[in-house]
Amino acid sequence: MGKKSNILLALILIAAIGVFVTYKFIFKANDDLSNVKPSSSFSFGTLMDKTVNDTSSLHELNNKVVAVTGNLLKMSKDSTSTTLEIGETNSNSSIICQIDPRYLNDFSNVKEGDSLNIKGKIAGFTIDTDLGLGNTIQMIFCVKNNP
Amino acid sequence: MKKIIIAILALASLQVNAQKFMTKTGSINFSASSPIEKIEGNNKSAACLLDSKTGNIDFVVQIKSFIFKQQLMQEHFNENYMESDKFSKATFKGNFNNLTSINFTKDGEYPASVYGKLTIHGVTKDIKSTGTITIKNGKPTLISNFSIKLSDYGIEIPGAVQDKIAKEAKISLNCSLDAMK
Repeated sequence: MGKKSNILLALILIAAIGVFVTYKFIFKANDDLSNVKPSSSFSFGTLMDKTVNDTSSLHELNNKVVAVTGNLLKMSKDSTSTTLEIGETNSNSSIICQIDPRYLNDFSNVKEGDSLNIKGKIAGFTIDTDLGLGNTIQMIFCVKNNP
Repeated sequence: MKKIIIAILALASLQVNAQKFMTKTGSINFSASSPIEKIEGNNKSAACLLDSKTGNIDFVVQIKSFIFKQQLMQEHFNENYMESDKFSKATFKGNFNNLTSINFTKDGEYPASVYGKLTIHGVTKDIKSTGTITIKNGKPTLISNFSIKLSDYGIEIPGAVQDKIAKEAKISLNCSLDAMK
């Protein structure tokens, strides 16, 4: 094999690796939080209290993975998603957890009223001042927390 | 006597609340797909409040709660286009045009026409939209599909990716509401 052929082969190999790496980068799936250690853990009441008394520390939790323990108020399901509302029956304030679609099966037997320990990434929160919807904390890519 | 009065007041307050319906797990899908690339995000945590007596309807949607299949797309959506750290929510405040033609106490499917102010990316615009409202067992479900021009809301698309992203985003919403506590 000539020198030119070797160079051509090397270039093709480098180009193929480049295409592969770029493809993997562009089509990378969202982070799987099942093996991520939460930065902090809260009960439902403790985390919701921050929406009233300590919004600055709640701001710091944005985009962080946290674990929450609380009761399941409502579960909304369709063929591709499950969304859980964690809260207390005497209040409209709640935490909304969109379950990571890769882990829907982990929640197939969960029912309203169950106590859950969930971790997910905090996507934001809403302080309700006029609608009567209560305060809301939003979490995404949620999975069961098995400490 | 006191107990009877308390019971009557409790029943009356239930009656008042039954006019209001809400959810925090409404579904909103966003698509700005082009023939070249599929760009779709789903948000299953939209908050919606509907007052069947006044016809007022409110939506609050956390932008970072939109989920995309690819991490890079999700990052670009939040950082480059929606600037969700700065404009964290989209809201809609509106009213039904045809409230009198919707019977919230009778099961059925009713055409709905809504107008109001939609705020996205810090820009507020008047919009009108149509859809259906289905009443089943006393609970309303709202379904609507509409489009928005991204440029109307100050969402800029860089020249390099202009062919990949539609100039109009299709929004579809589906919210099943419960009587408010």
